[in-house]
Amino acid sequence: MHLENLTIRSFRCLREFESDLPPGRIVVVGDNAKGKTSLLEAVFYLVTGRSFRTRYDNDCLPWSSEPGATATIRGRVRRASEGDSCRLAVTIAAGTKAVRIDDQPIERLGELWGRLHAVLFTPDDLQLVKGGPGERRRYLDVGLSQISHDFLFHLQRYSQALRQRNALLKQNDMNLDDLRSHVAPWDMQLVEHGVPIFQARHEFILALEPRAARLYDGIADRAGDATPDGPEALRLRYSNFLKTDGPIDPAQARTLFHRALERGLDDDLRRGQTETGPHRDELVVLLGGKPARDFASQGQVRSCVLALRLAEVIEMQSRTGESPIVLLDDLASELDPARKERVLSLLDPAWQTFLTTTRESDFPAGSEFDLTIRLA
Amino acid sequence: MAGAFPPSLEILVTHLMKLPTIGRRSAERLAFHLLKSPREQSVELSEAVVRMKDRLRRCSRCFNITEDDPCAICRDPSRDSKILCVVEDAPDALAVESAGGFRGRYHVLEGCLSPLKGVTAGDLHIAELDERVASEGVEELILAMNPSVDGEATALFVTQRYAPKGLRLSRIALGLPMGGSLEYADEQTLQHALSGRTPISGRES
Repeated sequence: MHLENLTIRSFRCLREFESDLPPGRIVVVGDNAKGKTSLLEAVFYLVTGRSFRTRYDNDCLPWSSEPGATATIRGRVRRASEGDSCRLAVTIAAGTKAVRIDDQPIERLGELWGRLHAVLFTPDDLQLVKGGPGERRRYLDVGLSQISHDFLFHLQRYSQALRQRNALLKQNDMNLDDLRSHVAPWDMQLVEHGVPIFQARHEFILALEPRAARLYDGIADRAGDATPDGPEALRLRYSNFLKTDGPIDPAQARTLFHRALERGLDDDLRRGQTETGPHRDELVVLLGGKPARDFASQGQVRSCVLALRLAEVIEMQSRTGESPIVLLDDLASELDPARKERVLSLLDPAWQTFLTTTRESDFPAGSEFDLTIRLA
Repeated sequence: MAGAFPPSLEILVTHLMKLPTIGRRSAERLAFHLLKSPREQSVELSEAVVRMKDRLRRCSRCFNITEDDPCAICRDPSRDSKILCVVEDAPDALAVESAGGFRGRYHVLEGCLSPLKGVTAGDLHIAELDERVASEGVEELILAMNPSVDGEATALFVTQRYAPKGLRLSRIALGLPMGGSLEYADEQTLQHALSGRTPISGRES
């Protein structure tokens, strides 16, 4: 799928932007603080209804805006398979946000998810490997939520039930019997929604691993010793709350999870939070058998992150028949020229890819772009 | 701009804005509408609001809203006292009742479990439900809570409390809206409709 058209008005430093967009490669050129990242941020608003830079929508209103100013982002999405298009619009005013699909306002942001698929790479993305487990859970969840409403549904219900259970654990005016009978309904829902999350993540990781490994070999140029157990081979491990390596029967998973919650209740009560469940899962990235988080060099981390992001693009495409749009922020400054060239060669020219840069010369001579957007 | 309003108009607008979904603009529009309409309309409206507040109370038996206690449904001898439809709040009971076809009685919990909001079973009319189950010869509970996470939890809580007592318990079916089309149903609704399907022929499994 791709964005056919993008209009941005009064969004951060972008006062007025409108352009038709080709399905292929788009380079966004501009000096610092001219709105390159903001343009990608605006596109991502159409994907998730949120910013990837801030939790506060108001941050996206222009600095010098008068009261009542409204930021608007509009895009028309064209799908490959259905041949039809849909129009997405996000408007942000002080304290309020409205999302429309084909001019119809939606009630929950969840309805927007899945309309436009995208995968994003930013310079902050090193956190995907170096940061805490939450970063890697988000990597899995943002990808899965775009391509499966079912997954998003279970994820939302799970996190609601989890917050309720944790609030209950902090209540200390209840006797133990009473508490057990109050905890049980939330446990049942954690199990009902947690097991599908576990299964979806498990299958996703199994599918991502060979793709990410191949991409990593391509980016790091280790074609010579590209064996699965080679010194720098990329592997993914799903470290999960059921402590299992392989797929597992859902009925068995439910029993195991239920038992773990019951057994953990005393601990949970002491800590005032639920210690077991998919909200504690970890995606372990291994390089040559060692955790990349602890051992990888800067260059290896960058290659890892790109391999993971591009693996997600390919996997989303293979599951939905639609290639997500690819947003690469400041790729050029992140990689040495040789890696840069190899990454570009790995990008399918059919993917709609946004690349931002301060200098066009950052890309190797002969790089072909279907559109150059200059921000001044 | 707001300062330009005469005080009595401004006071009305301020009060209207306290109502849900009413912002400043809508409040002004309603106030000007009342200003232009006959005086009786405003008198009737204000009296209706106060009358409603004065007359409505909770039924001491089922906690539905009523003008007389016990409520008409609880007093009606033709209603089946063996079946109770348990709902979160009064609008839900009114919705089931308006739909028609239900001949049992109601029990309104006045909320649903939500530890985040500090609501536990002690804050709902669960103890009163215990009493009714014990004294009114109740044989069946129909759980008509909302399909939200909190509504589900409340239904599960009620289930675990009364299932051991040998009561017949059922959860209202979640499924397709009448007049809807399969094609346009969302995935979760369809899944629920499928897993909660009703057998029409063949062996019971």
